Amino acid sequence: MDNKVILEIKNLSKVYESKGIRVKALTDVTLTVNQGETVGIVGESGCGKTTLGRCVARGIEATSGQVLFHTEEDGVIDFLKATKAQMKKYRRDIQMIFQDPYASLDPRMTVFDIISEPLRYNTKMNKRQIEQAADRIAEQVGLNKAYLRRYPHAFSGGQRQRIGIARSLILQPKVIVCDEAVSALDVSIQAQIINLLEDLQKEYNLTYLFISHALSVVKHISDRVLVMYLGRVVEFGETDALFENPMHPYTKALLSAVPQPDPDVTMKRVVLQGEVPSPAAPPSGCHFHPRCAYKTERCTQEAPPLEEHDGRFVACWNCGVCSAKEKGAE
Amino acid sequence: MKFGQKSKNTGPKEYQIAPENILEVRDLRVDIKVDDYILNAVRGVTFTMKKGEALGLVGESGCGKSVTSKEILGINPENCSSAGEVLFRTKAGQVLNLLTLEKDGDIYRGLRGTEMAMIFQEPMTAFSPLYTIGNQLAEIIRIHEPKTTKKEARERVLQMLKKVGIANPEKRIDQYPHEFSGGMLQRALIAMMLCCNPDFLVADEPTTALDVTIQAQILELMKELQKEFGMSILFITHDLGIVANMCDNVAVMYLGEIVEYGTVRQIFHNPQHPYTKGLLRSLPKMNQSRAERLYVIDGVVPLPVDMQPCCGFFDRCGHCVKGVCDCQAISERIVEPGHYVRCVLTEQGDK
Amino acid sequence: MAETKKRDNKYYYASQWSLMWRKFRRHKLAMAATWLLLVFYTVAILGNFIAPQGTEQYDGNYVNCGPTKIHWFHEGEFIGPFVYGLEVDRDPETLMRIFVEDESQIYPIRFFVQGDEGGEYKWFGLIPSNLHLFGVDEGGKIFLFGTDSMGRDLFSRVILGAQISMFIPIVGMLLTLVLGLIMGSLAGYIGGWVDTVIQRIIEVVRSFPQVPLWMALSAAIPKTLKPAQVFMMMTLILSLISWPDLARTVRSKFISVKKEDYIMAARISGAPPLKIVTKHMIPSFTSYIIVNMTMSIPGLIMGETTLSFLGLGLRSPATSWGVLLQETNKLETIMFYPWRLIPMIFVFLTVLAFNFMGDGLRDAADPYK
Repeated sequence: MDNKVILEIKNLSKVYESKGIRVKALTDVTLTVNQGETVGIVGESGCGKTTLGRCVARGIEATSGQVLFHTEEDGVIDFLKATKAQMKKYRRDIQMIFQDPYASLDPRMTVFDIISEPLRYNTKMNKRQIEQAADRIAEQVGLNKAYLRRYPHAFSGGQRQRIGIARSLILQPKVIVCDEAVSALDVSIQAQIINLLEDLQKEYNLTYLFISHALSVVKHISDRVLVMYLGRVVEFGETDALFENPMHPYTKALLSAVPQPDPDVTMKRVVLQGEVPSPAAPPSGCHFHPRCAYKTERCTQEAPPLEEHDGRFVACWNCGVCSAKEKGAE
Repeated sequence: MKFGQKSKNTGPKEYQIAPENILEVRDLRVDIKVDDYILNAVRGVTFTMKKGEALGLVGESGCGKSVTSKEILGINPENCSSAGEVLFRTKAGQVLNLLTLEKDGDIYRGLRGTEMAMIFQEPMTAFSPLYTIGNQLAEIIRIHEPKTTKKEARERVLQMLKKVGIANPEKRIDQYPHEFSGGMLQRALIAMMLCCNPDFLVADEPTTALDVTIQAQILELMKELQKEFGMSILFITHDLGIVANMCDNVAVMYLGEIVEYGTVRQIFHNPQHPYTKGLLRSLPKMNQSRAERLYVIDGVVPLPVDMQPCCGFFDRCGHCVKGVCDCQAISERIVEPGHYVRCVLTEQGDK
Repeated sequence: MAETKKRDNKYYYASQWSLMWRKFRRHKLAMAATWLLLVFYTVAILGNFIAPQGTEQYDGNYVNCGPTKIHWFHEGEFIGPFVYGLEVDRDPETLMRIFVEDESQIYPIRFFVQGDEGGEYKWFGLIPSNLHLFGVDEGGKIFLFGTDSMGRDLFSRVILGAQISMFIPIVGMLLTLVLGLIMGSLAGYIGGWVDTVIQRIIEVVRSFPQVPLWMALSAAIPKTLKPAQVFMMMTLILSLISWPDLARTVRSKFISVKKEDYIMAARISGAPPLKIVTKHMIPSFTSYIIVNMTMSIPGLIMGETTLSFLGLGLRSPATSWGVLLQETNKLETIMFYPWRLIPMIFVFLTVLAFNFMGDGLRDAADPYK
């Protein structure tokens, strides 16, 4: 991997407003993504991971911030302020795979129409070329070409997800946002799709933003992991190091809560007290403080910035305190 | 047999099950009529549950695990027909064949709630949005124990809410279901179940809709309660992690059959059936390095239509023996005491 | 097994509409209703041909005559369908005029006959003709449903009335569709203040009591208009009142479908907004619109019937089911000439059939559930 930056997200925020209620779904998310890597984005429901993915893929409009896309011809483009011509040229470079393989395919269109739809909007290919492209991509994602004239209801969940992947790949994008792309699938099918995603990444040097709540999957597929809580980034770092030694108290609790498929792994579970607060009324200061065992006065008042500690980015006023305490206890 | 009808036994029959068992399912078969074909959803499932045991029923969607559990509770829809025996020991020590009972009859209704209970994936559907949580729980108590006064029932509900770890129960008892979060509702549902103190609990994907940290809380709670009340729990889940943590024994289902049964250690450390092996290997693990490629079971789960006797897994199995696996019913083999597998490749162990 | 495969293959390649058809076909009641409606509409379209009399024909000698009996045997001998001649007599007790059969006169029923004077019509408004499906020879009379107080054949009038009563709703429905679709799409897709304004208009229209509003609007139809113009005015009135329901459906469908993942997917793949609306959004709820429209027809049929019954719609000699019922609004009529209520059976059957068909369509509308 050549560590060439492809995507920079700077202070991205998204506020939903309806009937006088303001919900800050994303607050100042900053992150840099290199070409060819997979960045895992984890967190619980309401943490803003899906909003982040959709803002980057321009499925919804961010309220403020920058999504800088590094192109070869035109330098750095801010997607949120791009001109129409720039959009037309570069929108196709960021595509998305959805969670629900049932809801993300228009049931009224044949698989061929679904897969080839992006080509109709973005290229001037003729019918034959479109057919060839669709055949090629179908083969690549493991769909039988003979089935392209069928409708989505003829396919199982795993096959539908392949259709979704084919649609996102047909424009040969650089970045793919995978929004819970394997969460709805059964274990054996999930493994098929994960392997497929990895193979495709190698072949096309794709960059993935892999959004998921399934930590073991994220651990498996990601190079770096971003942990979010209530719209903010709490920790960001190399996957192995982060899973080995989580620094933010929330990351610690999250990782320890995953049940291991091994009866002999006795878990040292950090069971968090209380519920995830509503994003409509987040707690003051550090959003995590009401559930944190290490909170101090400062945590309740000021939100901690995301700062670097040994190559890891952590947003915690007491970074390292909890680890030190645990070591002391041992 | 016609759909929606039960085979009625002509006379009262005495059923016998081992004294330590609470439930014995014998050769349970369930067919579901869908549009213009019939799904053989459960194809001869046999297992037993001891008192106080936690059994995990695992498998992928369409393997028949939910249908099995619902058949035990008698809540499968009208288009299902069943055969076999489901023997259940009541608190009074009587053994009933649940399949011969009328699903909406008095006996079954009496059983559900006092003797057996269920918690679901979506706790919201278990509550009526029109009444407070407290009222709904108190009603359950008063249905089962009609002599309880309103005040006593409320007192009991408060205790239960406290027991399942709902903070500030005095305030929560008068709130409506929509004011509860998913995790809280699941706790309330567990409280509802505890109100009747059943011996047998079916937990159908109880934490699938919850976040990881909340899931950890609920699992922890269920473990404690099981210890305290000595309940038998049938866990229906696709999450092998939960099974490994919560269960004593595991039954792995595939296409309507139990393909392997054993203790958690036997299943996780010494899986015998190619499907169990594949399932365990295809799981991404936290302690696995990234470079390792995931093992893949090829193909998809077929629809169980017009099933002939065969190993359901034969067309996805790398070790399929032509002429055996695809055309014969595979009998159960004993690997070691308490560990059974339905695969021709396994050597018959000592009985 | 092979058979299952074949069937599956067909299923896999089935579009939304063929899936809906598969589901609809299984709804027996809806299928029966659909056939019934097909028959009714065919009869109505071929009305002038099937009806033995035209709207303006009458015969003062046969006033309030009961339904003619059709016989097959004369004195034990089979001679095919025929009617006896009718003679006027008086009831010895009530002294009312009654008709008795004169068994000496035999009039066989003939098919494809030239009608009497006044029965002329034009095929599809173009080719003049006086050919009728059936009739009897000169001198005989055949009134399948009896006659009214002016001696007009009720059977003919029911059929000719169907032309109005069954087509006003269709035209009204199409007008409703246009109005409802435009208003609903604007409200649902654009949203914001446009939505608010349209919502308020809908609420205002819906909060008028229906019958008085009809009456007020109908009273404004000049009495001098020709039946065809009255017809147009009536459909206009009916659709002006019934569009809000459809607009609401369209609006809510737009809003719910906007959130679908596949709409987001289309947007991310670069589909322009108009394409998203026409290729993904509208097709996703076309079936619901059809259901809604089918379900709205009974209301329109009732509307026309009510208006005409109240004497605010068409008037004799123009005929509709409402007009026919309006003529029976006296107790004596119902007591002495019960056959005059036959048109009601047709209103009833048609409304019921549309409701059953709508039921079937609604169950089939989302074949992906």
